[in-house]
Amino acid sequence: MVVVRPNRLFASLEALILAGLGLFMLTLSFSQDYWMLLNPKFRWLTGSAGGLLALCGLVAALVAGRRSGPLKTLVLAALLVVCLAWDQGAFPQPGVGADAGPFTHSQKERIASRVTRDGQEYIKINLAELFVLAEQAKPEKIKQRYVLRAQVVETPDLKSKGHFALVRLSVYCCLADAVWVGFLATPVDGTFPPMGSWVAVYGTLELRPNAPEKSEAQLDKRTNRVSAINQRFLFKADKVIPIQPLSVPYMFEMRPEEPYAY
Amino acid sequence: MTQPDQLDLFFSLVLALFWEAAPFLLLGSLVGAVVECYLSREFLARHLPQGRVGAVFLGLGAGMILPTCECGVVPVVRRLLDKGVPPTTALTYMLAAPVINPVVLISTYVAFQGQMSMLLGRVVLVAITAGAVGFYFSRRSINEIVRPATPLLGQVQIQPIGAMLPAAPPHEAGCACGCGHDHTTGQKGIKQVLVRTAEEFMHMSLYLLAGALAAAAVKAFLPVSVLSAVQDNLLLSVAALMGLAVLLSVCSEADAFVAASFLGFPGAAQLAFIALGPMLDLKLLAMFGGAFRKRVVLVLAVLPTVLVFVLSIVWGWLWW
Repeated sequence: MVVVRPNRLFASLEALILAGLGLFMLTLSFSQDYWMLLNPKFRWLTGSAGGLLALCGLVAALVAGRRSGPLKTLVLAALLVVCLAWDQGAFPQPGVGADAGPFTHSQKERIASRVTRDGQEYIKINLAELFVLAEQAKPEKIKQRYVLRAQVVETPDLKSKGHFALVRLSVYCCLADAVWVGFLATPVDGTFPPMGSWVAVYGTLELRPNAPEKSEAQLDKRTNRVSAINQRFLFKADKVIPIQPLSVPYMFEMRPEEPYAY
Repeated sequence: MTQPDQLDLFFSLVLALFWEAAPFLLLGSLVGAVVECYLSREFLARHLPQGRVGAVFLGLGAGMILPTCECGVVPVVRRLLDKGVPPTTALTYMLAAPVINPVVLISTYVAFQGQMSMLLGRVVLVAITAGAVGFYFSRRSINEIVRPATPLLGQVQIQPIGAMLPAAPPHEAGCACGCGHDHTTGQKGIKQVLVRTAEEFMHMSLYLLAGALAAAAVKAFLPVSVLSAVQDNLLLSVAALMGLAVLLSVCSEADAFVAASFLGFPGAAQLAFIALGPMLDLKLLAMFGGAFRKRVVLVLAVLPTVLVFVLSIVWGWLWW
């Protein structure tokens, strides 16, 4: 008769859970929602590590003589449960609307670098790219016309000064290092777009005559997020067009030259 | 603007932090297992420098050519110490490797738009701090540094690496087989490497998870806006961003971009943020606790903090 000792049972269980976590990583790397946690450029890393982890877990589960206790098993099991709950969409995320959809290469690649509107040519760019461009302050780039997509933030203070803010989350590695990047903008004909709406804004950069030497690090304390709002330049809007929430609202890429990631 | 519930954000941040770090922890566990199985004490004894200065430079050099993320470096260093690598080399490597490698240096250069003072400052601060910590532990034995394999709270038994394998006969003095095998450890082979990798990952992932929970709690619930009040004071701003570096636990490849976003802060404070974060944060503290003795963890927390603070202030006065 085979006697299974609890600590050996826990050892086998935790190894199997480890394999499960590895499989979760593997499926996450193919998931359309991967971008909600991590920059898609790391898919290969997550997938490779997931495969290796699953293999390690399975091999460990087959090795006799290992021992463990309930705590580690329970913690790893809880982690797996939270992962599966996240996979089912249990946790809404900042800047992600209900319309958020899959991240595909075609969405990135379909973009032409310029667009013409009302007889004017505009360069497509994202907020992070425009932020860097403005910081570098190269005259030939500053004077160009740009179009960008962003969420609108309004505060009574900004509105009293005739501004609203355009923001978007920039993610380098994962959600944990996300930074709200943005510009203050001037409305067209005094009409402010609704708070939280997504807009495509066509316009130009304008150096503020009394701008502070350094931009403030915070905009909206309610968001409790690190924010980089450029206050040396305003984005003077020629046209503000309401758009559907972006399927991938985060910015994962910053290109120094055209074609920008947009 | 879409405002998710803070608890939802907390869980998402925990997962983002954990899954961002997990591949590096796994890689570190794998390297540690390979070291355990294939690197012999004899080989290391023959090739490692005996002097303390040489040991420090070896640790720094290893950090440059063997880049390891801070999430994966702890298990590697634990195994290196087990194998008889001098604490000076191992601990210098542990603190320096996450920063002074090409990937992180390039990301720092890009994030600060070619600002060489920031790049050089980061390398110098981390190299001095890592070397100083290595020097501090140069007279300590491994037993004074590495935590013995004691059970965690409520746990029947934590398996030390290789404990599941039968012990090999001890190495006999004068053995000169020259085969490169470790005569004091267990079996070799892919199966053993995978099992040891799994054991190490499971052990260290608990500490990684604890650190991720703490860092996510800070991000989700602690208002960072309080920092704005101190950004005009050099001493306070350096201290504030150092504290934030510890609490936020951002990966060393990404922290320069976060630091660069603190637009209103002095360069010295941004430098302190990117110098201290990869050597000391909540994730690392938890993992240090799982690998080293309490007194060592205390030194690993205090010495880098003091050195980075002082050096950042000096750097700030000299450069800005």
